[in-house]
Amino acid sequence: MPHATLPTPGFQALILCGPGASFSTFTSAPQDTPKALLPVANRPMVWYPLEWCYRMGVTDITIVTPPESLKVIEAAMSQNPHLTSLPTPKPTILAPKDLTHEMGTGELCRLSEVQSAITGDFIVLPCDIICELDGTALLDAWLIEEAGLGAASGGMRSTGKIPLGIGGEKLGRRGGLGVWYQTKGEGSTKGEETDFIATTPLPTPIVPPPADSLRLNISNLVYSLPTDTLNDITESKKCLPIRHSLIRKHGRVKMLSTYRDSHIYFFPYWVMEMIKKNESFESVSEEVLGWWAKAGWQHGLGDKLGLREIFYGQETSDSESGSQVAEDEIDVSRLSTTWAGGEDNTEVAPTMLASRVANSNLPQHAARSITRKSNLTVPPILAYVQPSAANVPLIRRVDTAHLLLAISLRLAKLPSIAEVGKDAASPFAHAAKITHRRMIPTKCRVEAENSLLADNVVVEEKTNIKECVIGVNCKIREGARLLRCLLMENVEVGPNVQLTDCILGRRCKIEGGASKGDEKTVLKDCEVQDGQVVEWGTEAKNEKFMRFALGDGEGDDAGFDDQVVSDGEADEGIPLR
Amino acid sequence: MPPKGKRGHANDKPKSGEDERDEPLQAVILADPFETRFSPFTLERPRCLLPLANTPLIEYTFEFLASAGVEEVFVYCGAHREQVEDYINRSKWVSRSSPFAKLELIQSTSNSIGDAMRDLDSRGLLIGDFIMVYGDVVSNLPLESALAAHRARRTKDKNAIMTMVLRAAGTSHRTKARSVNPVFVIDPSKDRCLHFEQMPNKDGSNFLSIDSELLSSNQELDVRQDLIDAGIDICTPDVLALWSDNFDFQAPRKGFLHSVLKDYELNGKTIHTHIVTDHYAARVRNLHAYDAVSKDITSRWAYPLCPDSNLIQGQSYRLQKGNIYKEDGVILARDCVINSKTVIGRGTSIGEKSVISNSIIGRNCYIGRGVTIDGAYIWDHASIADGTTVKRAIVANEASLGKKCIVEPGALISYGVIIKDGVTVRGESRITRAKRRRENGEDLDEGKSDPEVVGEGGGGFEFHDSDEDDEDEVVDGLVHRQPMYNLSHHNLSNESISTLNSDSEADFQVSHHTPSSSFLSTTSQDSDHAANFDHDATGSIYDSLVEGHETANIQLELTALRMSTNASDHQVRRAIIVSFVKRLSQLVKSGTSVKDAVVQVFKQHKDLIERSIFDKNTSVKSDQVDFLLLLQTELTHRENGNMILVSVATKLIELDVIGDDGLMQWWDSPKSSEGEDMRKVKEKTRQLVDFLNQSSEEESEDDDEEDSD
Repeated sequence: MPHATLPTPGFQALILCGPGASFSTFTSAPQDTPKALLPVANRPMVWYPLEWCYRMGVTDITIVTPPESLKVIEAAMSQNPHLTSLPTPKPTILAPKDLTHEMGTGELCRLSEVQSAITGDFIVLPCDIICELDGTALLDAWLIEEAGLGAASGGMRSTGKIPLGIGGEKLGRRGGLGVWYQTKGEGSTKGEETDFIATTPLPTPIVPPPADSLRLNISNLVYSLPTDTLNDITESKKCLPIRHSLIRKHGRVKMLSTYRDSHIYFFPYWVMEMIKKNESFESVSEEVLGWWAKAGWQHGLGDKLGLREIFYGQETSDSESGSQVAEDEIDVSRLSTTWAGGEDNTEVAPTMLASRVANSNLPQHAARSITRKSNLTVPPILAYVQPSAANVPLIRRVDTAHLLLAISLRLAKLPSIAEVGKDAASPFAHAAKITHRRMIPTKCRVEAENSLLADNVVVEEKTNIKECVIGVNCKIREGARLLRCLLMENVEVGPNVQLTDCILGRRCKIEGGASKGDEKTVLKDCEVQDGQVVEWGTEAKNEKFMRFALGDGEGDDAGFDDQVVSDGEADEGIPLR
Repeated sequence: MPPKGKRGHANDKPKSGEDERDEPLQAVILADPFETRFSPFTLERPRCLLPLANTPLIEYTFEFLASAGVEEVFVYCGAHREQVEDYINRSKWVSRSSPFAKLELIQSTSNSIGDAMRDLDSRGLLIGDFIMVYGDVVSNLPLESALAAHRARRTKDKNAIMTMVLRAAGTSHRTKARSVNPVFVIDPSKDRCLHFEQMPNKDGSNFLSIDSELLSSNQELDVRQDLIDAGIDICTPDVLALWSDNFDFQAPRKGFLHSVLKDYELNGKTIHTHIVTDHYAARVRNLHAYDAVSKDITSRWAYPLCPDSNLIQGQSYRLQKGNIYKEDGVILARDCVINSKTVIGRGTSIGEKSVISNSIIGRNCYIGRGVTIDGAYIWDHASIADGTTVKRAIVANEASLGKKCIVEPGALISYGVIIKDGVTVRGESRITRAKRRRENGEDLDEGKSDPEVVGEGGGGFEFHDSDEDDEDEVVDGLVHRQPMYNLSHHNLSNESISTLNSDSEADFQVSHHTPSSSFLSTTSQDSDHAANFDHDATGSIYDSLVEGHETANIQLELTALRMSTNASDHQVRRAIIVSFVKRLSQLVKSGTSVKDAVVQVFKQHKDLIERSIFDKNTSVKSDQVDFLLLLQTELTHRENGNMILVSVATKLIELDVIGDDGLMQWWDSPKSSEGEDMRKVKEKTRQLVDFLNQSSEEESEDDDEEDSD
């Protein structure tokens, strides 16, 4: 690992392994196959955030999972070759006993087990994030914009709680950072969830950031809503009301409606306290971010969220640990010669004279005393909004079957380490596209540049494999045609089966038959649940083969993705012989 | 120079250049924005001739247009036309060396910008793209790129009718408007303006409403409040046509722009923005801007528009250290102190121990000894006697201040005012000698001096203008008056904070205006043309009833009348009731039985009533109740009012114009039993109400019985 020698960046990572509600076909039994272990391009999903953390030098990783999935995740961590090949120290797996699959992420953070696990600044990650972007670059940006002055940080130590304030919280430093990615454009899937965000540009720094710095795309988040909530608002109000106080405070507000929250958050320690204080925060992405973003410009909201108490209130109780704290009153930022400082607190005395409307008997002092008292600076939540250019690093959340397939196929196209060498290869590249080249017979067609074949895959003659990801121990029988398919482990595809845009769960079997005859098996846009057997002669489109629910999916999404289907047909004119 | 640039551009785009080469670039200067923000000064002089850094405002506008390559200029005058004409005829802009091939003055009787635009359209002077500016623009920005962008858009899409040139500034910039902030919603990918609103807005809500359609049809929206709108627009003649099509547009931004953007689906026209981040652009739109722009000019932000460029013939300003500009022939006492950012015109003398800082002093002024002037604007020929202090105020031409006066910040002292010794002029006072605007050739209508304001023997009085109070927006004064609560904490006073537990984001309520029930007093918001509606509509309906016109025709006439006077539904109902009852009683008097008369009037014109009642499907029948109340009130002073009420109510229920619920709600409403008369009239209807209460099912059978009453 190139970064292994770097000192740890002082963050701990929290990987939340959710239920995978939109993968009902594959995650119906969370005790066997939790979402975190679904294969994405032949690697368990949770490998990606883990790898991302190790890549940026964060080694203090906690995986949070409901107790029912604990066993299987633990087993995978010690057995799965991909997970065991990750560097040490191994992540801690935390299964709070009250955690259920339905629990919101905010509530999750208030569980006592999670609370005690967080001892400092932390990164929150979902288990389904595929992030090619180097975390170090994000961390860099956070350190420059938001890190505590004089390397101060918040959190717990053996001596007790580190008091807040010395890191610059009161001056509006030590805020958070989130990452958003574009869902439209190249590589987009239809109907992907989006979030509505509004950002404002950061003040231009005195020293401009280098051209390749992420800071060019970092802005201040002032509004965040899931698109569903936005639609509810616009439906009931016929428009989106934007408070004037936002526009007054920020002259330039950019509203983006096609980006999605990646759920990667860099949070300083005090955010944990904010979540603890506000019991109504159900989810981190919606409530915590939404309210925090608003608190930055809605005067008085910070107080309502209890931030004043967090930043100022506990000064007295902190006196025991006062030995390590310098005088609280010292404003470190003023000593810096390069930092421009947050907001200028020198208040210009309001001149109360006028020319036109006689209304001069204003309670000037009263007004001033109010403003003075309620001057609470809320540290900002920054947003890295990934620009939409052609070759930006991949950031995606894989939380629908559609995305699982699309992202797996996209990762399959990455050149392997064997092809381009270790340094040039993407962090997600496999050692080789086809693990055992020699096992592939000569009389078949496997497009290696856009497919991935794992260990121990048996491919028989006359098969045609194009743009596929095939898991361990799969068997592809003679004459099978696979186009844009994802095969998990131990799948058997019988002779002369034709599969297009399909996802096949573990240990499922698609029965084959003779190439000549009336019957044939053709599946398009289908999902086959773990261990299912699809009989010879099944022709299906857009179906989910599940226990108890065979054929139920029919007509569910009729007409969905017609385009893709017709494309598939056009591509299929490949000679079999 | 500028035409050359233009031709160069035409070569780049030969397609678009074809027709443009022949057309000279035209510009319209709106010299009078039909406002009173500069009163009392504008009582005597036109706004565009007020001196800004000792140079009349319109000079800056001409300079700007000349540098933009404009060849034909139309100056649209309002008040004080002869002064503007006189000035222009003596200026360099009509001389042989003038960059303008044509400089024309247009005089009209318009009293709003909307009227002026419609007038321009009817004159048909403007053939191609033209630049529209106000007579108070100070700008040094080159328009080439904006014009090129505008033309490129035009060739692609004929519906891109207008490009607004805006200057990006920070959240707080002294030249930005203070109290009323324009908010532009822009699609940055196309530079298209999608929505415009002013802040604070008309209905006083603290929200900017962004249409949901904008959100769904655009991936990216910029909400910009950090723009200085100098009112520089590049327009096509289509813009004027749009003004003409919509006779109710008055203001160019909150009227025209807002509505055109809102009705995009209807008209299909797009308006674009061109945002520049360098150069200077500002409008001297009010006194606050006057102050800010003056400072910008003396600090050389608007270079080359600064005093030492000597824009007018005969000026001889020279720049000295610390942004002090002095003309030749300034007489300074040996120990007076001139601090930085000061402009002093020719022939001005400043006495001993006087201190001048941050001020602009015109020509031939007399400043006595020991005078302190800070941040003030002293125009030509003013005199300030010994020991007086003037801070952040405007002292106009020929005004004279006595000894040891104190002029507080914000005061405006107009032409020829005489302040006697030792008077303190308060900050909010505006002292003038002119009572109202000087009309053509007329002598100055001088008001009576108020010794309390100007001292015994002085000249001038406190200025009051009735027009101003009508204006719906707050106007920035010379000195910015801090609102009661600091702007950034604005929500303390009138904005609620988001409630934590509410599901939806915004928690604002629209307070419904309930129509007032007493029609005898016109409600306060019905202005006088609405009162005309009552009269006209009642008359016209009554006449139609007498002459037996068809319901549809009456309806048509009524609608037109309602539209043109913006009358409320309540007023429509009132007009119908009044005219119907009038006709009814006339018929009764002439011998027709009540029942027949009711049938004749109400049944025949049932549609008319139905179209004035809009609450058929709601549970609270406020319109029906309102209708019945109006009817009841109208009948209180009619003969047999109670009888008529019963039969009309029965008929209306029979015709299903009024529902049972509506009648019940009326009966229960407290307003229907207010006063002796009302109760009396109502009493007779009790049987109908009781009856309806008893059996709502069998009502159709029993109706006949009731009718015979």
